[in-house]
Amino acid sequence: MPHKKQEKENTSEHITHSLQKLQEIVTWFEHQKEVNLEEGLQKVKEGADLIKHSKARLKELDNAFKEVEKDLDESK
Amino acid sequence: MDKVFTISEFLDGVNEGLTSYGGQLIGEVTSVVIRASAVYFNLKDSKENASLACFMWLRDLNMSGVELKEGLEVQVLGIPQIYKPTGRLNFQVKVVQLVGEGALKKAYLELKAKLEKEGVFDSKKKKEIPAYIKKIGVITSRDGAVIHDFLNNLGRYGYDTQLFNVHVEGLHALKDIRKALVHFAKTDVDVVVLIRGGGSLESFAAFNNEMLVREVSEYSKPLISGLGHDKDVPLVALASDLMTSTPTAVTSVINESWEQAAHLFENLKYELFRWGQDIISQKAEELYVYEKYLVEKSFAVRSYIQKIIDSVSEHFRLLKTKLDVQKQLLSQFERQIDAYDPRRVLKVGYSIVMSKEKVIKYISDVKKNDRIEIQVSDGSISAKVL
Repeated sequence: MPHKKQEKENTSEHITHSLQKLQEIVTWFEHQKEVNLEEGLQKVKEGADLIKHSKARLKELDNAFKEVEKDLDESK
Repeated sequence: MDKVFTISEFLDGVNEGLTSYGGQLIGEVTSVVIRASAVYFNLKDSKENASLACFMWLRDLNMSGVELKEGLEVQVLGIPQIYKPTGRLNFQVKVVQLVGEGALKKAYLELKAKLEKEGVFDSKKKKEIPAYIKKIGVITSRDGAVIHDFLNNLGRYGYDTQLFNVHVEGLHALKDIRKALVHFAKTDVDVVVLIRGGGSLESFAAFNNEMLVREVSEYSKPLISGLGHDKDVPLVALASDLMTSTPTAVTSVINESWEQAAHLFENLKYELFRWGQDIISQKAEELYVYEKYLVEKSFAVRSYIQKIIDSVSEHFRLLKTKLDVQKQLLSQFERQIDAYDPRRVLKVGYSIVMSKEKVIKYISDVKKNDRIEIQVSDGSISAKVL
């Protein structure tokens, strides 16, 4: 469990970093004349993992924004 | 009638009967003789040949304040009695009073001069009349208009008034007034009032009695006189602590301090009301200033809060935009990575064969009996090289 929590925190706290990593993966693919299958698969798996956690984190942030938006509307 | 009396018993009986013949007589004084503690004189009628032997104790004469002289016309109060040692009829006089304006005026002036010389009327001897009098001892006759006028003119200030009924003229007046003074000296009163209406000098005889004048002058309580008179001020009035000319004027003196207090109270009430109004106006003005200030500050605070809200909202919008950008980026990366995913070809029928977690690209990559994994679009198949 501590491992999972730490992973989540890392992912949550570094969504910008995750996007940078994804950008690097995309850039890596763009620069490959011939994709190495193992490496490509590894990158895809890594990217899919980053996307999964980033989506979860963005969902959380989206909900938080909705809450804040509601509070702000009430305070006007 | 069978009873036999001694002379003494008989005379006692006669004297007892004679007391009912007591009364007031008027006559001219003749042959005055003073012996030890008594004075003997005769009274005679001026028109008829009638004479009466009179006897008077000196103390009663002194109390009456009359200097008996032959030829004086006097009025006396007393009872007839037979003097037992001589068996002669005497008129025992208790009070004697001068008759006739001339004699009275002369006696009045002489006594006035004498008492003035002695300082009986000195202002230094006058006691101060207290303010806010509550208890009043009134000496006057309960009959007649004087007491009613007095009570009617007393203000409604809750006075406790005690009346001592006296004769205010005649031979009984002197004794009555002296008794009244003694009574009120021992009674809890703030002031004693001696009042009567106007009259002749003769009717005021008691009020010009030397003994009474001296007693009034030395009286233990403040005494106000209200004795109506024409020309000659009664000597008792001169000796009193405060002299007024009428009973009504006495009420003015007694009411004065209460009326002033009532007037002062009214003024204070008005002042207090005005002061209260001023304070209320002043405070209302201050409140208005504070209210105005608070309203201004309230607007300022609301404006400040609105600015903060606007600022927060603005930052929120920026953050939200950033979030949207990140969401778009993520979607874009997802699509791109998906496009680069080597496994996309598996859907059209291609497979990836792996051995020991390496992709098999050449025959030489495997040998007989090696375990291999064949990845297809919906999973993987385990196989063995034959």
